[in-house]
Amino acid sequence: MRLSGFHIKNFRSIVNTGCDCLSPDNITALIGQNESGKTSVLEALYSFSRGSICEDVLRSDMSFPEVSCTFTAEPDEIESVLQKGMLLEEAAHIMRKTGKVTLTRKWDYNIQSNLFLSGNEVTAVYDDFYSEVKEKQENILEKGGELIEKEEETIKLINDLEKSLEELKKKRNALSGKLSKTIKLSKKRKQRNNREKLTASAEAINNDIRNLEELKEQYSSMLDEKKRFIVDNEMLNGYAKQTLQLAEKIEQNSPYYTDNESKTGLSTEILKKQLLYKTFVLEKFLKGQDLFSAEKEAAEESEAIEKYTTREHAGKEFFNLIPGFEFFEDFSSLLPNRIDLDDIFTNNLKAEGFKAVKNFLMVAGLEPGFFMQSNNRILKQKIENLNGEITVDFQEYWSQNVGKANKIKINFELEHYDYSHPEKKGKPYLEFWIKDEHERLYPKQRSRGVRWFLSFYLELKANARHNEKIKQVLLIDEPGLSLHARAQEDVLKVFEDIKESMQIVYTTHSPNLLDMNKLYRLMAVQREQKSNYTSETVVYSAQKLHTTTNDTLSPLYSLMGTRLWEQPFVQKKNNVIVQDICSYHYLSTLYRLAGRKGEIFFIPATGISGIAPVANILLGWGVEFVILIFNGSNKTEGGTESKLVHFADGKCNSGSLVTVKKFNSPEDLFSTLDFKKFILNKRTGITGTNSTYVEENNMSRELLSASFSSYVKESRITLDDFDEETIENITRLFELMENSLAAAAQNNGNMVQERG
Amino acid sequence: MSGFTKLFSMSAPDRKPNNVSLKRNLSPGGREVRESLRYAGLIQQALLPDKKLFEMLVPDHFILFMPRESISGDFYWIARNNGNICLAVADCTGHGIPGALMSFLGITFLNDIIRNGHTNKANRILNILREKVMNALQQTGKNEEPRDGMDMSLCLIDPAERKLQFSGANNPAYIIRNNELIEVKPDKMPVGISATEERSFANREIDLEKDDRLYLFTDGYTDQFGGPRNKKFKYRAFRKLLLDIHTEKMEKQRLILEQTIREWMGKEEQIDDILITGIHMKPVLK
Repeated sequence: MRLSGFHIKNFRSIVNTGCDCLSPDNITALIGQNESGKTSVLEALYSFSRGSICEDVLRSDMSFPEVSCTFTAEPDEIESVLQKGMLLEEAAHIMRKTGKVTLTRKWDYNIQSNLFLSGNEVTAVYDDFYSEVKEKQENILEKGGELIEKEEETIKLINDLEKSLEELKKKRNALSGKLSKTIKLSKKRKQRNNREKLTASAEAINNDIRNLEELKEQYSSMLDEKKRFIVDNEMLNGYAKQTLQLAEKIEQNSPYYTDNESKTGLSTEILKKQLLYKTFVLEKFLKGQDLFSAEKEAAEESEAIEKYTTREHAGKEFFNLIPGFEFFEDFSSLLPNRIDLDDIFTNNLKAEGFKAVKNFLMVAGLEPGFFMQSNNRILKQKIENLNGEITVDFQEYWSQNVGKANKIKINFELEHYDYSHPEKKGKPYLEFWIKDEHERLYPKQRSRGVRWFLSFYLELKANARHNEKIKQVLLIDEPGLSLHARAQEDVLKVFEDIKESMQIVYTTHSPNLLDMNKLYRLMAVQREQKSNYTSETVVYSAQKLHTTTNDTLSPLYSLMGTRLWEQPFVQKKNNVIVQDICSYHYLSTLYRLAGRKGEIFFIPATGISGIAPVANILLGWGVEFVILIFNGSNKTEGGTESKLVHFADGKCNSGSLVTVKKFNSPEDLFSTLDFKKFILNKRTGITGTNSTYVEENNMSRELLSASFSSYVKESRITLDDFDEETIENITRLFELMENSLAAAAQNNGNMVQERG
Repeated sequence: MSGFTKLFSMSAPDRKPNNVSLKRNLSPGGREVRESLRYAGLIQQALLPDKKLFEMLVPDHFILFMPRESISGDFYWIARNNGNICLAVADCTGHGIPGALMSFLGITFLNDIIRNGHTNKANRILNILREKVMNALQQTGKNEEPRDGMDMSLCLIDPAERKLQFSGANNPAYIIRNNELIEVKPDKMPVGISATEERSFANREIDLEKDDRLYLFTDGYTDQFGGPRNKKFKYRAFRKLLLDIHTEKMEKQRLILEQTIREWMGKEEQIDDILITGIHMKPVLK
């Protein structure tokens, strides 16, 4: 798999980088000022692979770090995980379709991390699935809850009924006593006159007693029924209670104990599985199935769901396939002057320069067994051959000379200690030399720059050789700090060489470590003020570089200047002086694109005021040229032309001045649509001229023009890809230029102006 | 007559706006709203091209304008541009208030473009207009943004050379010549943001002939439900109708078109604003 992008949240000064894409050709450079957060980006990526962080990376707002990496995977890599049938079908379909795997590592307050499969589409599929399962679970649990409530109500009712029956018994007893008394009283002579009344009263009491008896009977029967309900549902209720208690437990544990060891001694994950199973049993049970069949069906059902493992499981499976991440802050292990062979055989990590020597042997393709060769002459010959091969390879990358044309060579020799080292006498050791034509010096006698580069070269080459099959991501913080500009360019060469087997993400301040023609490799890291007290790191992808500050882009601007010497600038004739580097980029690119028969050599000045000195030099050299000025806004009217005429002091006999009054700057040569499509890469409404838009939005003209030039070189666009308005404008301009050059050749000193 | 003079001196419009739905939706307390809408309708009328200008530039013409409510999302516009006649018929997204607001934008922007006089190509006018609409509505292509805009037919007629430039945003133009109807196809994109990246509108150039009839219209007429089976009127029937009546005088054509659609509508509600303009090529501007 190949790392194609990242998204970092809450890591040191980074709050949220947004989704950023790495360069498609495996070399990505992070540029930005000191303290902008470039190293934090590398550290975050490294932490993603290792899983561990130190407390220093935590932000003061106690938001926890989260690093997502997106990988482009080969179909067979994705299939190797999908075949296990672990993923939801829809999620598997998305991954097959996109060929992308996004993994997120999130840390919690214990500084423990949790790795899971992510990505917007996949996450949405899982969320939908689990919310469906959860909803079903909640419905069943709700029904279980209702059942338990009903049971509780019934028990309360039973208690009430029993109390009521007791009261009825008491009332009945009281009425029976009253009835006996009434009957007795009615039999007395004295009550002869009241007999009828007493008899009626006795009758009424009798009625009350009968009613009470009836009520008692009803209550008794209800009581029996309710008790029967309790007995009948005892098992179901018991199961429902257990299930609800389990759900409660899980709820109590979350969110702080998610997937960690819970208070109950079981992980939340296991408890959740148990709950899923029990819920399904309860569902069947509620439908009237017997426990045995309910359990059987529930086991099958929950197994089918568990088959689709969590995003955590899937994440771990994919994590096994990602490339290894290596973080190089510094190459502390520099090549030593000598090392004992014993230290190599015994893997003595403490031996000086051990790692550098191991790398050296790896690059040379030597196993320790090589030195077991008994024939010393053969061994020496082999070593000599190897020295030649290594030197040739190294010289391909290290292009600096010592003196005028003196290339350095790397040598190692097998020696044996003599009597001056009595404790090691006779034991073999390897000795290293860095030679040139004139002298042979130990590595330590060479400059730090040479030693650094050599170690860096050995480290990367050894890694590439060691991991020929497994891709690696190398995170390198400011490589080549101590190197000369030329040697820094050599570092880039090494990157180019190993990019097929390794991905490189590095930070730099040096223009020499950037490739002007591959601006898509750049990412800008910038610290932005969010309030008076807070600032945060923002990462800009290659397409958004023009929105960053000039300070952030300073290596790039330096690069634009340093590379101009590569262009075939001044020729004997057909030279056009343009007012700035942006005009140079746009016009030279468009001229190439237009495929015109003639040849024009554009020469950039440093602004309007810089035109005169350049023109003076060309006059001095006696070359033919014209000066092209865009002056649509007439900002410098009255000043510019007179200045330009004045520079020659009346001797401008080989120069012509072409003033394009229709446009403010070369950006206006493009139709608005083409300008948005090819230069801004943005959809927005532009109501004024393109140049005004760039100015009002404080965009970097230099970067936009350089990016356009680089884009045209890299892509296959032709003039036909532009619309008729752009084609018309540039055709007219180049016709004008060619005519002016022809006129300049014939009749020096003409002032040509285009009006309208 | 300036827009405001026209506004205050305007007699009742020669059309009966169908306010049924709007009135029905208004509560008894919505009188003020109703008044505001009526007044907004008058302002919109005032913004539309002056009748005299229209008659001066294209003497033989008709305009069938039947807004669904007192204010409309359809508008027509005419102007003189470097000796050319620039004519547009547009259908803004929505009808009623949202449509009317968009039409205000459209008319203002078109006036602005012609005033600055930067172009004499029909497609470039539409390109610039789209930039202005996108800028005004802050459209950058993000999903959550409103997709408002307008469909438009725009013609630049050079009467002296009898040349027509046409550029269409979803809306075509019809030319009837020698009893044959020629459809001038539009680009399938609106003036405003769309799902795909903006590209230049095409500029179609046509040589006009004497007696050509040019028709620009919005989709309100063809999309109107009605008839015995409550179906849309459709383009086929519309084209046939135009072919049947194109030899009639322009004013009579307007009356027939209006009568036909009212009969088609019957008791059905008008579903959208209706706008058709017809021009008979008798160039007088030299």
